Amino acid sequence: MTDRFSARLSEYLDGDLTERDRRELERHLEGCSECRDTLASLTDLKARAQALPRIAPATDLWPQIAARLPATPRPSRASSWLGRRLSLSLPQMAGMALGLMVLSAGIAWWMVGRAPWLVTREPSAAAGRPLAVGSGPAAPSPTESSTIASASFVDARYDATIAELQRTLEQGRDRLDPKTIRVLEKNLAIIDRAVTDARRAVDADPSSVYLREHLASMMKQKVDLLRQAAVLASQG
Amino acid sequence: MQRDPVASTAGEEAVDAMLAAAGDTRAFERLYRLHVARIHSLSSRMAGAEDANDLTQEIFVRAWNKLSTFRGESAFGTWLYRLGINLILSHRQARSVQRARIEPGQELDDIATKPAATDHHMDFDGAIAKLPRGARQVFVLHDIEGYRHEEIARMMRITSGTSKAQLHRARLLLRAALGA
Repeated sequence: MTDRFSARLSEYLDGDLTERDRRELERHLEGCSECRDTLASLTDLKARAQALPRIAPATDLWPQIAARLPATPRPSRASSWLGRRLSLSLPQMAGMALGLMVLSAGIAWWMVGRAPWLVTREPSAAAGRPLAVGSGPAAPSPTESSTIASASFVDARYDATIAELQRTLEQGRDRLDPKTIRVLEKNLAIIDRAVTDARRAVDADPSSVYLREHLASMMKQKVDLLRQAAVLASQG
Repeated sequence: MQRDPVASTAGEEAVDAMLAAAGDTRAFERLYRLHVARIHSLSSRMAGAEDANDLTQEIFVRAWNKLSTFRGESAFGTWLYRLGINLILSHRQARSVQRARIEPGQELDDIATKPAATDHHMDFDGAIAKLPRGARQVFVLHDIEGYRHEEIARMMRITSGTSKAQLHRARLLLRAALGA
């Protein structure tokens, strides 16, 4: 074993040597049992390191962490949509969608009443796009394209998620009962209006944490409903 | 149906990150549950088991406070680990200065030069804990966590060559300590 070669055994093991150096070291290894032994040990060591288990804390640290989180959320453009697997039935969804529509309309009315001149921007075409279960994702209109292009990362991810779910749903559409599809389309339309209203309200008052959370909630409801339908379609 | 529309851990993680950024502590708790073991492992192996709980808490609180800066260009976990590593590295620097004044550390450099019966039976994590700080950090980041030398060099503000040398040193010290 020579220092010149032994010092480079880790680089050899990790594939960090140039082709020329690698060949040179391999020639050396053929005649050096000490370097071969060292290399075998390092190989074993690396494998053991990679297989080390995670060390979870002995106690749940969440309560202490939660106690240290500021009570008031920080302003952020981020919003929420996917998340948890839902357990509501379609009739429950129908009731929920109706509630959302009433709530959203109330907020929109409140916002217009407060500052009607602020509610002027067109809502996101993607968010307001009717979701026809029977058709695939529609090609974006010029207006929609420009809206998406200028949308935030969150909006883009939301639109992508919706499009993906629509594709999934379309693939399994034949497995759904026509009545289910009708209920689904109706409720998606309701939620779309709720999203549109919520987005208008946020556009009018972007600093409002409450309105952003409301919009996030509307978006999540839509994704949840589509996900549930996609699950139904996949199960036949 | 080719794929399960629900089974999307990465997607749900991204969504939870956005929910948390909007102030949803339940979403943040889900992220905590998903990543706490790795963060705690990082803390424990890089900074020492005695500081691991405090550091883990600090990392998640810091992450919560910085969530508005998370833009989603990388996975939330990637962002969180990077944040955690930076905090651990800065913590460790401050801590090592503090400890040097209190107790001289017995590192593997010393142990490896003084063979003892128990050294060969030292468990892997115990041996890692006794590596010199720089070698330990590089070993943990490279061999356990899978970071590349270029990434480690950026995080630790060293050269890639130094990172490689520290890794080799760590491996040889561990080999000697474990009798491998």
